[in-house]
Amino acid sequence: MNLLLYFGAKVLGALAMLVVGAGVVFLLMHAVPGDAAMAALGDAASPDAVASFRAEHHLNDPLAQQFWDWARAALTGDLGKSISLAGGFSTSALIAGSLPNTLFVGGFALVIAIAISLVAGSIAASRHGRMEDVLATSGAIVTISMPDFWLGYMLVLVFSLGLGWFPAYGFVRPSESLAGAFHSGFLPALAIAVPMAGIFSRMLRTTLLETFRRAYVVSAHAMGFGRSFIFWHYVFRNALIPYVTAIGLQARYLLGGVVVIERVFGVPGVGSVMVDAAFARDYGVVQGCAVVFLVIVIATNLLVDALCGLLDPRRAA
Amino acid sequence: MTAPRKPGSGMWYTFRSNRVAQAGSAILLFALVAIVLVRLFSPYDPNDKDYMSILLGPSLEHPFGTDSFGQDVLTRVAYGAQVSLLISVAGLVLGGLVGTVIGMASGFWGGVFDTVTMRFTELLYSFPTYVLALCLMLLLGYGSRSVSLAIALVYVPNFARLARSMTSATRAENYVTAARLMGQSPARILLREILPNIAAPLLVQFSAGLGFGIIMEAGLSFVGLGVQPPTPSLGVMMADGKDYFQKGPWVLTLTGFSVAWIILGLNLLGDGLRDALDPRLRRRLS
Amino acid sequence: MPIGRRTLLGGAAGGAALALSPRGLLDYAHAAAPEGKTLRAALTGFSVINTLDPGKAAVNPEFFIIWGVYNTLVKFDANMKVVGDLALSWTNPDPTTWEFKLRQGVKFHDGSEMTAEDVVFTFQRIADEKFGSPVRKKMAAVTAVTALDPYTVRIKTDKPFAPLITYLTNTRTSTQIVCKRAVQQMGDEQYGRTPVGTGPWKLAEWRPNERLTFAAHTAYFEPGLPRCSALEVPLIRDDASAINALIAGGLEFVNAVPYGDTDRLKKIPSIAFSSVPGLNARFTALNIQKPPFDDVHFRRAVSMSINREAFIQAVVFGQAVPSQGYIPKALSWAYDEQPYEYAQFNPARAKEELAKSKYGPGTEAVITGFPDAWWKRMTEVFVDMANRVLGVKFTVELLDARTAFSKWTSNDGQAWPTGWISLCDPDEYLFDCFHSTGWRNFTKYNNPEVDRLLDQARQELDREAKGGPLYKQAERLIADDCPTIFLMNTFSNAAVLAKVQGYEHLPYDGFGAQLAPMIAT
Repeated sequence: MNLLLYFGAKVLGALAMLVVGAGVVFLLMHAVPGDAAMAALGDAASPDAVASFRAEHHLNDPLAQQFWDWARAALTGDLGKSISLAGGFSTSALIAGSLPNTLFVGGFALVIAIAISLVAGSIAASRHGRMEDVLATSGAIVTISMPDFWLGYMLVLVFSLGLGWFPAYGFVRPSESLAGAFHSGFLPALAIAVPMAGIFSRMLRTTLLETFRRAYVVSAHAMGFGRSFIFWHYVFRNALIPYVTAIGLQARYLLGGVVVIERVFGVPGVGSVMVDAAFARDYGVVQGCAVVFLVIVIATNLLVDALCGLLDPRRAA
Repeated sequence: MTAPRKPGSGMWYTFRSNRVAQAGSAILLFALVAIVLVRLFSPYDPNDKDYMSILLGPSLEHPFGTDSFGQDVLTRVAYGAQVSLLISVAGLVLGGLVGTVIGMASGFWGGVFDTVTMRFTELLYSFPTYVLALCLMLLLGYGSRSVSLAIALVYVPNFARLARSMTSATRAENYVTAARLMGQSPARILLREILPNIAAPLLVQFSAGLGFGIIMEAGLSFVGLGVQPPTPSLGVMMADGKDYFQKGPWVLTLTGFSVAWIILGLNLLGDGLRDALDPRLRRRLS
Repeated sequence: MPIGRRTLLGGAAGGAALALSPRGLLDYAHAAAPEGKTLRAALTGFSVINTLDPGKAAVNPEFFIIWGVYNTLVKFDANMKVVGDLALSWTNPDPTTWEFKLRQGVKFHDGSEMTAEDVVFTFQRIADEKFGSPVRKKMAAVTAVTALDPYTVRIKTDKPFAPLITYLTNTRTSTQIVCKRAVQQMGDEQYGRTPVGTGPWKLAEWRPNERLTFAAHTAYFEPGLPRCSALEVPLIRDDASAINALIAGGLEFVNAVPYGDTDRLKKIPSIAFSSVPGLNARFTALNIQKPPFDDVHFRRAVSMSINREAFIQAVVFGQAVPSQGYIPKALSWAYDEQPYEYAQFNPARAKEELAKSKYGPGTEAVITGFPDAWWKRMTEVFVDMANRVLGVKFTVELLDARTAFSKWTSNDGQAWPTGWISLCDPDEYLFDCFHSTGWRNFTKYNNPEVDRLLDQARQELDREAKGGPLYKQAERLIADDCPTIFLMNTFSNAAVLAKVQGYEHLPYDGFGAQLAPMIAT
């Protein structure tokens, strides 16, 4: 019963957050100067054209009315239609068309970052203070110091314009060709993964080192267990919890923070849709994307909680 | 066990024995000296447009080449570094202040206020930082002030959460209870008793954020939202360099190198600071 | 072999089918429509396309596509001469009547025949207030459109209206002929997303914000066209990235080349770079209602302080010609070769004019510009040049493009470096922007003599001989008043792979109208 109440409260809280979040974004967007009519009509925006556009898309209704109309539809799963970015297409279609790309490139980047950081972080921790540690640690800090789009352009310069191994621009959807997606998604994924690997491996190294010094590890040593047994059975497993949490925190970054990299490489991701919509003053699309972001981030947090519970049953209890 | 030292000297001692912090300081010092030297001795004004020497490659006259307006890139980097750092510092100070006040208050009093503010920071936390900053820029318009505000907005939840968790942890400590029993006002307790004890991690967060602030400024400039010209900022310079990357790759490449250099220094120093300030780590080292 | 060099933007049509076969996994880059070639033509700098319904379309990228999907009664050739398109010939029985003989046997994408009924429907739809077409007011001179027989259409205007012929070409006119049956069947909104035209390209797939794919219209009325069996149009926001893709072989055609990249592209043998004088005007519009630009001498001083040759080098790396008025060189019959006094760089005379004005050196003004690519340079260089020559204190204010444009149209601010593109008629440049009743006359310029000349020019159906001199006269008067500082007329630059045949560069950046004869060999 308590558990039920607990989850009920959580879900209610999340819902309240969604509503408030959508409202905040709605107000923010409507406070921004310039409007959707201007965006859709461009230099053809004669006064009567603007007037009929505004009337057609209910932009003259009171703000509260507009929000209510939007929110009511949103509750039934209808996120409305684009008016000034891709007129007539539903927001859901825009998101459905771009989210898989984001998830693919983001997931690809995550895999690369995790692979690099697991190796680098473990080596650095187990060879603490030696050459390998110094190399891995300095490598990590150098990578997190590079501005992201600069790194993107440097990768294009070397790997596509220079060596010709990867395309300079464009992304093949995974649904069209998986090989193409991996090939065209590699450079953007790498540009995203490199600084992320720096963050992850630093995190892993620190927590590994801390765990090494914990009492139970010390006593395991005293009990005569082998070094590698201790590392895998005691240290690594426990160090994974903050590591997984750190990865979970990257979810929001991967969803929308990589817009700049998406732009450089032409990956049509959901963050780019939201940014383009913001520039086009396509209010409904911006709100729809915001809601999707919120839902995904909340879901990720729950997932991370669950994963940590699996790794450490004591926490779940 | 060594004899107890004065609080400050312990920090200094660890700093001096901390190679990371030293490397960071050396890198920053180099950058600082270079900036000062360039600003003192450069024959060019950062905004001196010379239409006869557009996009000249690096040479003795222009070690970093010229940009698409014929302005000396090195001189602009020297001035732009200051602008970008100031923007980042201003953003973090503001975000840090607001976030810390909110966080300490909700950690100290708890209750409904705590729930509401934490929900709100969670909300801010759920939006991708870049998109959040961009929406704010659209609202506020261009300029360094808006960029700083955008950085602040992104950092408010970070500081608030950190300050809150540490405040609620110190609430139960003996010295806080003692101060409360002595009848000190909450404001005084927060300011005199709690703040000094949680300042270290906040400072670490601050130094770690500085570099990111610069990267964010660059990212906003990339989509054309940034500092107003002719003010040179590192982000605007990189964005310009990107537009003329094929014609003059040195502008983006060398400016980016300078940015990475400065951020590297800041990050190393931040790491060193963390080691020096983090009581847990410090205890372990002694 | 590196699989990806030739890549990427290609392969949508066949890619999906091949993806699952083992061969497809390795060979995705070669996936093309099995029956022929795919043309990959990028639209750069844009991602907004709200409708492909010509009656509703407003912004350039929409028209760029529409030109390839539809036809109009007449069209411009590469020399901006009006030639027949769906109409074979036309006559003016009297100055307010136009009669068009239509081509027979023209098929819409759905297989039905295009007749006078569709033409009448197209014009009635634009005129319908409920439909809300952005060009309704522009076409207000048209009073009636009737079908005399299935292949003859008569258009009546309220008074002689010479620019009408331009408004019937396949440019930004919204008079592209729509399919009556299809519109009535699917409704206006749906029609905007699944258009049915008579043009060479039939929409196959539209991925909003990403790309459009077309199939060849096999029953297209021009024999042998289109030469490719499919067309892909990726929407590439960042034009520098599009050039990278072209060089890497991922595209055959890029509609706009960043001005800074032209020199380099000319040196690449696999790329044919093409440049013609464009149909555009780049200028700084002034708020003549507010200080300091309410003083004609101050305006003239600023105009003469701009060294347009140097300006062009600095802003667009030489990819423009100086302009002294609105009308671009490509409209040769209305273009005035004689220099206008106040549009010439002359620092000494600029200072004289400044001395005559109410305002002196040190005068402050905020110049509101766009932040994107070279637009930003335009604002910065304009401010720098005026400040240097006159000692005035202009400052730059960059706003996001929507905001800056709204400020201009609502006359909020002092000066706006901006421009018009793809306007094809002198009437659109001068009447709309400087006639006291013109709808683009945002700063309320009012000169009765200019009004008179422009009204008269509208009535001269013999445009080249009689209309041209009137437009030149009007423009010269406007240039004397300097309500706008005319700066340059940029080139229309495009890049195609050298192996592509059949490319003919249209001055109005006629993207979709150029693609049918193109094919990679």
